Amino acid sequence: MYLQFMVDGDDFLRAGEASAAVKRTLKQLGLESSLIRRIAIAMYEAEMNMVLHANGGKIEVNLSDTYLSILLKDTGPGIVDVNLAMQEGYSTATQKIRELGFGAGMGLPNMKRYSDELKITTIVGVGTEILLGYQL
Amino acid sequence: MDTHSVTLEKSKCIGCTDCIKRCPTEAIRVRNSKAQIIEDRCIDCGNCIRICRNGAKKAATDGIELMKKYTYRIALPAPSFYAQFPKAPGIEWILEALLQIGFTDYFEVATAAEVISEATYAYLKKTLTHPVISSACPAIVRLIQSRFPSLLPHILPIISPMELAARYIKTEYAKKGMDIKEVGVFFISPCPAKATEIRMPRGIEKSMVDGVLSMQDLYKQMRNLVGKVTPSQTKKSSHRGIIWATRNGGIEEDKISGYIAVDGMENVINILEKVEDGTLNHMTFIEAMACTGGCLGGALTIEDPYVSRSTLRKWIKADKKEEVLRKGPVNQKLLEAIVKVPYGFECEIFPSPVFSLHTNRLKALEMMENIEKLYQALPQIDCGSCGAPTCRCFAEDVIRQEASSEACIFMLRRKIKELSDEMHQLAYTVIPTESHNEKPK
Repeated sequence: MYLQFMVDGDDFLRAGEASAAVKRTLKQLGLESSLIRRIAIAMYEAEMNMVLHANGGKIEVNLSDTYLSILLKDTGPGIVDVNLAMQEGYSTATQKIRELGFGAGMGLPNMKRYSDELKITTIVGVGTEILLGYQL
Repeated sequence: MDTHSVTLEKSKCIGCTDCIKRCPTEAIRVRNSKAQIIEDRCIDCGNCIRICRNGAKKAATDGIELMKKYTYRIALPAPSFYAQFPKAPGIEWILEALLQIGFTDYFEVATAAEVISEATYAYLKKTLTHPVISSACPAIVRLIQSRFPSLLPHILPIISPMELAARYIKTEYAKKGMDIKEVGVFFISPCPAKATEIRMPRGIEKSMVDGVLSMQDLYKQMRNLVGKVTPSQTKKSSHRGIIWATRNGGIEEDKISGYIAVDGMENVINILEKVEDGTLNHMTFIEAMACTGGCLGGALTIEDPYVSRSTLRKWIKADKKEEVLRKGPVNQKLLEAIVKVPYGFECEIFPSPVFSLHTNRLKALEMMENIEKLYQALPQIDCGSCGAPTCRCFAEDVIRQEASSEACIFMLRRKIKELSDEMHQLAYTVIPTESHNEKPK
């Protein structure tokens, strides 16, 4: 099954809708709730990153009976140093974003922690592709 | 007896879409112009009772006549019950009126609530699973079982003040040598969910409460009595227990940091989604109440929840003043006795995956694809004419073979147009034996 979501980079109110839709789908599939929770946390984090850093983008979800892949594509600024971004607590968020409760520097570390597979392809100035993969 | 506490009075239902739209678990459909409750999905929150303009939804609480079965009839008034009598001179007058209408004794749930508050603070200090979600509102626990099963480990594993009150009073009667079979304990409830709770308790094997009576039923009998009685006993509850009925619940904000009090089903769902997404991991405790205004807004209450809050605030304030004067809690010894009654959960709460499409994952995936395909063909305006709350929900019903796609008036109209186009085409068909002059125009 294939699902596609367009994420609006300017709409904080609607941010997280794609994750919510995927969560609903996975509950219907009857996956174990702890696994759904891991997927929800990682995908929400990735979706919010898209809104906060990359002015939105596109999410493509592929779901089979054994595997789930979530591909998040944006045309944002790209990640300058992926290794640095993978460190807990490292953040590029502005003060304004931190005041909203984001930007704790746990984004990428959490995505890694809550996924079976994490692939980051990024080119500065071109965009970022993040792939979250799960064995079901 | 039915396990659920929300029932439908068929003759009053006109088949409108008010209730299906407000049900948080999509548990109601209109079929043959009557609402139908899907039992597995209902969490007894009472939203549909409140919303129905024809009074067709009823709470199935116990009748007052159930009392007659018992020699000792003990009322357990919820603190929200006090607020139904804003003109009462004080809480003692309300309690006295309970004795006048047939109860032989009462025990204030607010007193047990104080013990539960303390137990909650203690649990919050030692647990590693954050945030903890209050287990006091049974509709919320059921919501978590069906919609947020991954959050089950977050539920506070402590029984409700109602249950603790029942346990304590029964233990006391047994100690005094009374036959426990003769002791009937009745909770005076603001909501139907509590009635379900004693029939199908979660976290414990069996409830000690023998019946759940609706506040509305008792109100009729007590309304005129409350002003006339002379209190024979002083109340045993304090402001710390009474505050449980207010919107913020029973937790004193200054005792814990990272505390959210949320009420109203939609608001609770939003918060639980956030907990599920891991964005509220820094919070310690979430007090979630299904009804707007907390228990004061329960479907069986009489008074407006905002008026009620003001009433309780008045009494809470008065009690705080008294406490300063008497230099300590009114009920210290009682609290020490109640705390000896076990209050931890005895069994696990399991998920009730009512939204899962099929036990076979491949089959579920196939159904999901079909749902998505059908959903794309639907108008997506969620009009409710088909009897389902949303187009997506309707698509699910069709693929589950619980509804036919023609139940959607837009699909039906499309089909009628196709048929009429086809008939129109057929009318042009030239029949060999027919004169060409008769060709329809």
